[in-house]
Amino acid sequence: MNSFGRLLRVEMRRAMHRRFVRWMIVLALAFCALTGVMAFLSSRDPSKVGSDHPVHMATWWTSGGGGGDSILLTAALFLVFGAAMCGASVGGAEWRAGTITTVLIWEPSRVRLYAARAASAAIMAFLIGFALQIVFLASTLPGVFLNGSTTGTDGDWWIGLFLATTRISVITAMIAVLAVSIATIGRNTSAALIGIAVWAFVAERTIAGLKPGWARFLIGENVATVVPWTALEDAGFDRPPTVALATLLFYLAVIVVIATSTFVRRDVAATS
Amino acid sequence: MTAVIEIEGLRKEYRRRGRTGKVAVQGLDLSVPEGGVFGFLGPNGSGKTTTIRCLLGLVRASAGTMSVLGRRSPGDLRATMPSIGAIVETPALFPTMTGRENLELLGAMNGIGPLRVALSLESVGLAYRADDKVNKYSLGMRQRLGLAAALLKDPELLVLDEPVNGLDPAGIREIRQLLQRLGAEGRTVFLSSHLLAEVEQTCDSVAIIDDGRLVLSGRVDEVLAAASKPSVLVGLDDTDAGFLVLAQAGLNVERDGALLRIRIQPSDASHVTKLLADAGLYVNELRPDAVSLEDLFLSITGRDATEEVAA
Repeated sequence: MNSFGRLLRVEMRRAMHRRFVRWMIVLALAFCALTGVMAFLSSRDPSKVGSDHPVHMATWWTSGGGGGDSILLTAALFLVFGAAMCGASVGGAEWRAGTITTVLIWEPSRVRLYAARAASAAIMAFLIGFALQIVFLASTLPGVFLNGSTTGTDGDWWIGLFLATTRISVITAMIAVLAVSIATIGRNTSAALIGIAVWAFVAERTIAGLKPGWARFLIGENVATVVPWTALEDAGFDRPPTVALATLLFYLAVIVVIATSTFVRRDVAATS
Repeated sequence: MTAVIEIEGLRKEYRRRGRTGKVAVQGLDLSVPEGGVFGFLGPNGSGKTTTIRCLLGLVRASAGTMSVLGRRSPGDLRATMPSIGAIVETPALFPTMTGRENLELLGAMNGIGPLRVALSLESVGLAYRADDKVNKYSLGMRQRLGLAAALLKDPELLVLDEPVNGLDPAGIREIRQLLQRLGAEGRTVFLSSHLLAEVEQTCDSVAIIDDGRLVLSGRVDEVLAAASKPSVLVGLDDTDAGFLVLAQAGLNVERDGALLRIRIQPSDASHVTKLLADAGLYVNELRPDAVSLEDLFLSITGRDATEEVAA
């Protein structure tokens, strides 16, 4: 394995050792289990199982129409929040703990270190996100087989489900890198989380309200286009999914460049 | 002798928004010879840690040039860092991992395997707690683990900033012996410490900085010899009578607590004992009045090195 590969592996191990990351995964698994139990229990009376109940497998992912009825979108929402929190924790905690000094004594190239950190966050968020979506959907299987149906799950549906899961995993990975980068710029986990929350819930909504024409450039609107891979309905603008994805990648690249240049120039002057 | 660390005109100014910048190091020149233990001393805020951070690329120098192991720093640090082991202030390690896991994680960056990890833990006397989590370690044990991490690369150069902080006397002695052994093996140990007696016992050479500038540098024995004014200390039952006898004999004598200090070469001490014995006064203590590193440090900096720990 080359030295960057070793660094990447070390960064992954380090991230997985963070208690916060482990707790978030446990929490996500518990949420999946709870979803499965609730889906099963609520489907025991067939008269109360509507067509949009999760035990009807086709509701996992409804292609077209923005995927609005899909239960997978619920998972996506939690994954994005989880990725932001874990990424901020991985990027920010080292500054508080002072371990950044220790790591830089072993890897003095900050560009390589940051690249490895961002890459490891992306890879782990993608893989964990993908796995958690599978667990989430699989948790409803007892309900599907005993009380529900698999009607409408043909080959195209499976491909659509796979692609949607992959897109959600990609968005999760991008959010994790974004959080790592902002935490690196701010040298702080809380700063990253507050920054992301303020941008997503206040700044973007304000901009969308005051300048509807600019909404096409907002992260939320572009994410909402990429996940279902279809232009937003009733949005007042036409934004193809490829353009939305390119926009998100561009924003991420800008943040990564800013984070790298900040990290490279910053004095690591005190432990904690 | 080849210099392992060469610093010329190092200056570091920390900029502060809206205020005058703080100059931590101003025009420091320093040369650390290859092999042995080199003590780097200075009072609190004199710029020791900033110098070390600049050398290791943790802090960007405002001006000056540095080289480590014959290559530019920080420009060539990627090439030299695998040969440098370092502790900067209190070693910060990953608290939820065991000591062994910490070293394995760091070692993995340089392709260092578990055998070398075990040897490093053994060399600092931490093998028996290697599989405990670091958040259960005492400060002294964390310090040992930091030292084990520094030794993990089997380094040519060890840069240690206060490596015996938090260690008990037995631990300090162990580490002293370890550092001396490493120095004797031909490695260079660059040691920053406030424990001046330790530095005097451990180091071959020393540099003292104050206000970010070098004020003294050289071999410990030469530096102390140059600073010494030859004299002997004499203990007597009747100090007052002894003082009169020696003063009447034309010797430069002064009181130093319960002892008398006589300004003569230690090799001429027999002259003093003869004068006193002829007057019926018998010596119960006689020793050369050697200058310690602590005395020298205080006379140069006007400050007590131990103050920096409390500060």
